[in-house]
Amino acid sequence: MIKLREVYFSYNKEPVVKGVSLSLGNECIALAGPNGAGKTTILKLMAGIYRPKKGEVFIEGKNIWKLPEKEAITLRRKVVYVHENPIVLRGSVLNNVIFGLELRGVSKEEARKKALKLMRKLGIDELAEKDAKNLSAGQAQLLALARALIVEPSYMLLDEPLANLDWKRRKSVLELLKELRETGRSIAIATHDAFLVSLVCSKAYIIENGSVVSETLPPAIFQ
Amino acid sequence: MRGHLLTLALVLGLISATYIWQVTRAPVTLRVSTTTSLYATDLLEELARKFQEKHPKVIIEFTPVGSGEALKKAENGDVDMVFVHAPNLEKKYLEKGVLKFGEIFAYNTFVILGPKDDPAGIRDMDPINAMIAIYEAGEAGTTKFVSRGDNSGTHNRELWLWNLAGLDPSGNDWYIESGTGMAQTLMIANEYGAYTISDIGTYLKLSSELTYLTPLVTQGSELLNVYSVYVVNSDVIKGVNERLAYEFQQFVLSDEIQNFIGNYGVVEFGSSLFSPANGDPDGSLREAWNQLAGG
Amino acid sequence: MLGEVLEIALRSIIVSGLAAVLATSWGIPLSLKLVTDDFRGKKFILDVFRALVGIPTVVVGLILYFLFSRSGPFGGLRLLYTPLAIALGQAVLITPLLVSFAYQALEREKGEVWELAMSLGALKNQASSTLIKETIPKLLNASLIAFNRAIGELGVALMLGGNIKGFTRVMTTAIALEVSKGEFGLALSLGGFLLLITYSITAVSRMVGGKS
Repeated sequence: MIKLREVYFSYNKEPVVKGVSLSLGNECIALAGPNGAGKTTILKLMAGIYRPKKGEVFIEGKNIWKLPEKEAITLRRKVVYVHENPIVLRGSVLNNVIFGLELRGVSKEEARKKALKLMRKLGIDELAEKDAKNLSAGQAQLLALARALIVEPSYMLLDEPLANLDWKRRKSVLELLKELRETGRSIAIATHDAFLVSLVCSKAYIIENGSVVSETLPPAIFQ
Repeated sequence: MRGHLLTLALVLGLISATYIWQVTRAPVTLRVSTTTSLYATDLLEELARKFQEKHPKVIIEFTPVGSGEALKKAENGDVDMVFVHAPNLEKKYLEKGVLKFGEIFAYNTFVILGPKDDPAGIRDMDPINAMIAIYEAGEAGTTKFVSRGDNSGTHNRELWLWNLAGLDPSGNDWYIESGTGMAQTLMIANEYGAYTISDIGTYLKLSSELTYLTPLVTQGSELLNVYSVYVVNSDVIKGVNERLAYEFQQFVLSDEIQNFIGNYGVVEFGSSLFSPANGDPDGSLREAWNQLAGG
Repeated sequence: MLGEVLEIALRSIIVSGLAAVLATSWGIPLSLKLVTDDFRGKKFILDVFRALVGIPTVVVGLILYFLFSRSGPFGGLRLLYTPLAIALGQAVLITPLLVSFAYQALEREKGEVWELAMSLGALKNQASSTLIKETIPKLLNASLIAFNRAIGELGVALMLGGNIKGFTRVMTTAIALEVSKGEFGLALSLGGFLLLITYSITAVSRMVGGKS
């Protein structure tokens, strides 16, 4: 379970997250709301990338910003956040995919084997040796997904995961998300595309202007 | 922000306008190139100030450089007159017709300086034997010598002394060519604990900084340092202000100014930095000049 | 004469190259620290470095002169008028420039690369080394620009080196000397050589910095 309690955050002076409390258990939740509402920042706070200015972030019951880094890391490594606009590192696609495993000290050979298997499943195995900087937006999105999946996170925090995809790929990613849910992964999705939410998620937080304004079931968004 | 920038621009504009007005208001500018050793003593600025008291519309611009460059500037028409102390170079430019009305206006001496413990043992030797002793100590590895190496008047004098001693130190490890002005060459010699040659004026001005150096050889006609003033010949070099240069030259040679030069530096250093030529009554300065120019 | 020109050019490249390496070795870690850590006075430090980018070379020369001279605090090292003194002086001179460029490059990448590493479970050190790795072309570019400033400066080389023939004479001091001797020919050919070097470095830095 990831839990935010009364969390505040600001980049400069103006706060962008104002006293948000929410939790992600064994479920799929959606953060819905207009652009600039603070959805992305909330996901990054949940992932432990940003440190809140006020309030607490718990991962599996532990306040991660109170722990020494060595202890916090084992919890943080259960969580993966995927950017809306994929960030690619220099080098080949394969090198990008194994990045998370390298951080965890997995041997290069083992990592490559695992990566190729996963990429085959996602249908991007033929891109393995390609320069990652030359991918199309859709291909890069799949790369980012593979890079996240390979570390087998318990919690996946996805920022507009379908935004850069064509219809065919959207469908297969949705299938993938359903499958992840079935294997017990917790998923949080930030989106302004409410339709997607109703297909996968059981709960939705409506975010406006840095605060949770309501908590509903996805179909209620349409009302 | 924009308001501040505007104010700044206005102020800068005003300052430059005032400056340009100041500069252009004076109808005549006299351009003078001078050897650094002379300029560093501030004597020339003093003379210029005195000249301007009588000729308020004249602006005098000094370019302090080595004697070599000072003379080259004359040839390029960049200056109207020169103050130098390198007779052998002066002679070349006289022969080319670049310079005229050569007059010796002051003199002092060069000094051979070295570390206080004087490893070459040159104290109170005559200059030529001192050079020989430094050479031998250098070869023996017990000392170093710092040369200006910049074709300046002092550098030319040093080369002339080596030549009189029948020696050629160039290329030796102990022979350091600094390639800088007199002040910095003295600093380098001080830092390295090495021997060097300087005009007395620059040395006296810096002596408080040069704690490891001391004057060892100060006597001898070979160390006579003769300062001359020339007017650039407007028949050969176009566009120079020969008339004004001549006027300033005659001013420098006048009794009043010669007297002033003879007393310059007494208050500050306890002895005067220069001796006035006073028209060179017995011709000994000209004789020395000829010897240096021919050597 | 060509031999001497080449010797001086080579010395310039070695001395200023050493300066660039030194400045990089302390400038990059400092920039990284400024980018990744939030601490009091960080903005102030950055402002100071930005202000010092244009610091006159003679001011750096003068300060180090007093430190290195025989009667100064580091006089015992006998550094003054050695090539190492020039390299140290130039390294100090170019550090603000290098830090400004490196900080800018790292800051730009931080929003992306650093966050990506953190999002995939990196320790702070791992995120930092990923950030450096991804920014290498731009950091190299910053070092090259700093090298160009070092090799083209005169004040430090003259005040700390002394323009000693065959020892501390570098291209800029040699040019100044030749001009003072009235030998414009040699000065011009040295100047041309210097331009050639800085231009080639600029071209190389365009190539490495332009990618990615």
